[in-house]
Amino acid sequence: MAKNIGIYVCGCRGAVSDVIDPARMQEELAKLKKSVGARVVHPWLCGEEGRELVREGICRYGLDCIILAGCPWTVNTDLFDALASAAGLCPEMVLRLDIREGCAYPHRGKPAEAFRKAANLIRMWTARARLTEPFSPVILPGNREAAVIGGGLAGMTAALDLAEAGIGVTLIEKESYLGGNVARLNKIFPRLCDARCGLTYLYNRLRETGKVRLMTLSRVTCLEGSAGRYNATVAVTPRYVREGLCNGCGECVRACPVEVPDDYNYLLGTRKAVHPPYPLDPVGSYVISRQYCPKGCEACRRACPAGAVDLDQEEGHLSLYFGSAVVATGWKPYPVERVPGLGYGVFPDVITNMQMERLVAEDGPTGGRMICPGSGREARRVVFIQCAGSRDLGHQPWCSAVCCTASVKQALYVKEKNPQCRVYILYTDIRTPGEYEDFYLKAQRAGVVFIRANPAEVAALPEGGLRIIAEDTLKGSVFQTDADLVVLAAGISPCGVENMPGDSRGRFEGESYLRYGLISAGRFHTGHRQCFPLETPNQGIYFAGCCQDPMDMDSTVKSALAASGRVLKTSAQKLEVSPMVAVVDRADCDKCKRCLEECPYGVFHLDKDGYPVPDQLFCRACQVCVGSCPRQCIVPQGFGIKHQIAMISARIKETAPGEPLAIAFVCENDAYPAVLEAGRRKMAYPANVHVIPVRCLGSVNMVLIKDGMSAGIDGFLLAGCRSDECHYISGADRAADRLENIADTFRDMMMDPDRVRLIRLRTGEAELFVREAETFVNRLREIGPNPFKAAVKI
Amino acid sequence: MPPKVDPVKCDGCRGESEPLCEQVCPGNLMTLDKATMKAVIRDPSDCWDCMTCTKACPRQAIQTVLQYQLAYFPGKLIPLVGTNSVTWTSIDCHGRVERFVMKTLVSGDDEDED
Repeated sequence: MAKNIGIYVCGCRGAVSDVIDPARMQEELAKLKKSVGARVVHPWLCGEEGRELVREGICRYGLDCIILAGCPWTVNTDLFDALASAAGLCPEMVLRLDIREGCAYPHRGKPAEAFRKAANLIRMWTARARLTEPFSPVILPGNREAAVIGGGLAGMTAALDLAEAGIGVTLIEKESYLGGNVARLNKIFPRLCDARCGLTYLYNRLRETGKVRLMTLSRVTCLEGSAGRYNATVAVTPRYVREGLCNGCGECVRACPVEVPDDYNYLLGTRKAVHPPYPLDPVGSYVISRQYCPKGCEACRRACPAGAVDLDQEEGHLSLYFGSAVVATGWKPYPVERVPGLGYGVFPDVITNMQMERLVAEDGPTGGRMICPGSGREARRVVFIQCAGSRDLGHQPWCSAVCCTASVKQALYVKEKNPQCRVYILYTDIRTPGEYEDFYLKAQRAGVVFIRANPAEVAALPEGGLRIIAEDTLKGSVFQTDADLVVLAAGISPCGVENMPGDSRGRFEGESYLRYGLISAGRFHTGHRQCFPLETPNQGIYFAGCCQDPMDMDSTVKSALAASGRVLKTSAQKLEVSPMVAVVDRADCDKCKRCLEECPYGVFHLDKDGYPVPDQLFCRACQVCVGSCPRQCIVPQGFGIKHQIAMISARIKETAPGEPLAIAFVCENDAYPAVLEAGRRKMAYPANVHVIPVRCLGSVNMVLIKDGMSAGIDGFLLAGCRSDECHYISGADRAADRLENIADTFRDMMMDPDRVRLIRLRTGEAELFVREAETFVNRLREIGPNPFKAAVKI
Repeated sequence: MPPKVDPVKCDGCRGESEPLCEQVCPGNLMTLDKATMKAVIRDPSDCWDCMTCTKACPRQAIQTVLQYQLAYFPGKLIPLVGTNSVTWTSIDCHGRVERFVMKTLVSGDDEDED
C-alpha cells in the first residue's frame, strides 16, 4: 500500500499542455488528498531538469510510488526505470499513465472534455497507486529429474540433450529396442545415408553421459500429479529370457514351433515367437513374445543350453517421480486397409511405404532384393500411390508432410537397384518443401514418371500382377496401368500415451488427447500455436516429434531440442517465476472450484482441505482465474482486481454535462496497441471512454461491472482479441460468455443490455476501435443515464 | 416466494457436487439435480426468502419472485452484488421499477474532494 504518492503530470513540450491546461490541472491535483505527497505539473519530464525534479522529489518527500502522467508506458521505459532505481524505487512502483495518446491527441478538438478525462484518469490512477505494493519475488524449488516417453529419434535426442545438461533422465520405450520407426528405415533423405548410423551415434552418446536410465518394453500406465511433481506408474513387460545368462546361441528360435507376423518388418514375412535382439536393444538378449506362445509350450526352455529361458517371469510395475516430461510417442502408419479400393490386405503385392523400406533394406526379410511378397517375382514395374488415407476427410484430413519425399526416395531406390524398372508415382500434389525439391528433380531425371491422379483402384489380373485404374486429374481422363508391386504412401498417425492426465480433475483422456481430431476441435489443443507450440494444457509435459505433428527427421530433432529446452527451464534447483502468478486468499475462498474449471492451463489442483492451489511454476499469470472467481479471492501481486475496483469507484465525473461515462477494459496485447495507434494517428474518438489496459480480457471480473453500475458508470466496453487468437487460449471468449450473462441480467433488471459491449480488435485496427467507440457512446446517449444514479442510496 | 432457477443460465457450478447456492443456503434447501446438473430447490414451501442464493449465484441464474400477495407476475427483486455495494432492482406487479444502492463498505477514497 503506497502511503506517499507523487503525481507528476508532463506537458510533453506542448503535446499535452496545449490541450490540457497546466494551471487548471494543478488545481485539480490539489483535490487529491489521501496518501498524496507531491503534485507536480511540469512542461517536460523526460528532460534533464524534469528527471532531476522527479528524482529529487522521491528523495525529499520520501515518495513510495509515483504516477507519471504523459506518454504511454511503451515510451522511454528504460529512462524512467533507471530514474526510479537511482532514487531507490522499484519499477513496479512507477505507474505510467497515458494522457498523451490516450487523451491529448485524440481529443485535441475538445480541450474541456480532454481535461476532464485526464483529471478522471489521474484520479483513477491515484486510487490504483494507493493499493500498489512492491513485488516480493516468488521462488520455487525445481526438480532435476525428467522423463522421456518414447525412445525414437525425438525421445533419444531430447534425452541426450537433457542428460548433457546434467538432468537425470528416464527414457521409457515400449518396444525392446530404441529408434522406433526411424531405426527401420533403409535410408534417410536428403543425404541418403543410413538412419541406423545416426541412431547408433546418439545411443552411444546417451550411454556415455551415464545420466540416462533406459527402460525398454515399458509403458506408462498412469500419470498423476502436476508439474514439478509427476508420479508415473510404468509397467515393464518381461523378456522371459534372463539377462546375463543368454549367450545368443539361437537354439530357442530353432525349437520354437510358432511362426508369427514379423512386426519389426511391418508384418512383412514371419518370425518365431522368440526372436534375437533387434539392433539398438540396450539389453541385447533374446526376447519372447509371450502372447503368441501356445498354451503349455516350453520348447524354448527345454532347448536353451544356458537355462536362460524363464517363462514364469511376471509383469513388473514401478513408480517414477519426476518434474517434467517430454512426450515423444511418435507415430504409426495409417491403417490403409481402411481405404477401400486400394487393395491393401487383399492383394499381398500391395504394400505400404514402411514395408517398402524393409523390403529394400539389406537386413530386411528379402536381404534387400525387391521380391514381391505375393508373387515371389522380382518387381519390374512399381507404382506408388500417394495420400493413402491422408488429405482425405474420410480418413486423416491432414497432409502427412513426408510421404511425397519418402516416395521419391523409394522410387530412387528402385531405379538404383534396377534402372530398367518402370516406376510411376500417382500423386495428388507433390509436396517436397525446401531443398527436397532437388530430390524431386533428381527422380524426374532418373526416369520416374509422375502422374497427377485421383485415388486409384487396384485389381488383380488373372495372369498375375496388379492393374491400377485411376483418373488423370490433369487430362481429365481415366487411365490404367499394370504393376508387379504397388506401394501405398500411408500417412502418419500420431500415437498416444496411456493415461495422460486429461484436465485439472485428473479425468483421463488417454490416447484421444493427442489425436488430431481433438487438437483441431479445440478441446485439447496445445495452446497458442505460435507462442506455446510444444505445450500441453497440463504444464510440465511437452511434445516432441511426430506425436504432435507429422514431420520429417530434421524437424523432429529440432522439436526434440526445443522440448528439452522447455524442460531445462524448470530444472534449476531454485526457480524464480513471474511475481504475478495466481495466489488464492483462503480467508475468502469458499472452495467453489470455478478457478479449476476456468484456468486455461489447468494449473489448479485441490489440497486435502479442498482449497484450490495453483501450480505457480506453470501459471502463465493470465489471470483468467481472477476474472472467474465469484468471491474475488484470487489476488496475484501487481495490477489486479482490487486496483480495478478502486479505479472504478474513484468517483470520476462525466466529461461534459449530460454525457455518458464509459470505461473500457482493453487487452494489453492486441486491443491496447490499437487504442494507442488511434491516439498516435490523432484520430478523434469520444472522450467519454476511459481506457484501462488489462492483462487479458479473461481477467476482467464481472464484479467490476456490478461495482461500476452502483458507482454510476454508464457503460462498459471490453476490447480483446478474436476467438482463436487469444494468447491464453480462451480469455476473450470467457469474457464474452460472462458479458452475455450479465447483459441478460440487465434485461431482467429492465436495463438496456447494450450498456456492456465486447469488441474484438487486432493490434493495428485503430479505425475499428474509433468506429466502435463512437457507436458505443452514441448508443449510451440514446439509452440515457445509468438508472442507479437516480437510485435510492441506503 | 422461493427462488426460481433459470435452467439456461445455471451451469450447476460446472458440475461440482455442491454448487454455490447449495453451500450458502441457510435452510439447506438448494441442491443439484444430478440428471440435469442444474440447481433446484428441494422444498419451495420451506424457503423464507433470505435471497442468499440469489446474491451468491455467480451466473445470476437465480431470481426471487415476489409473493403474489405483494406482487403478481412480473414482480421480482434482483440484486447485483458488487464488492462494496449491492444494487437492488425491484419490479412490482405493474412493471414499475425502483432501484436502490446499498453501500456495504465505506470506500477509502472519500477523503478526496470531488
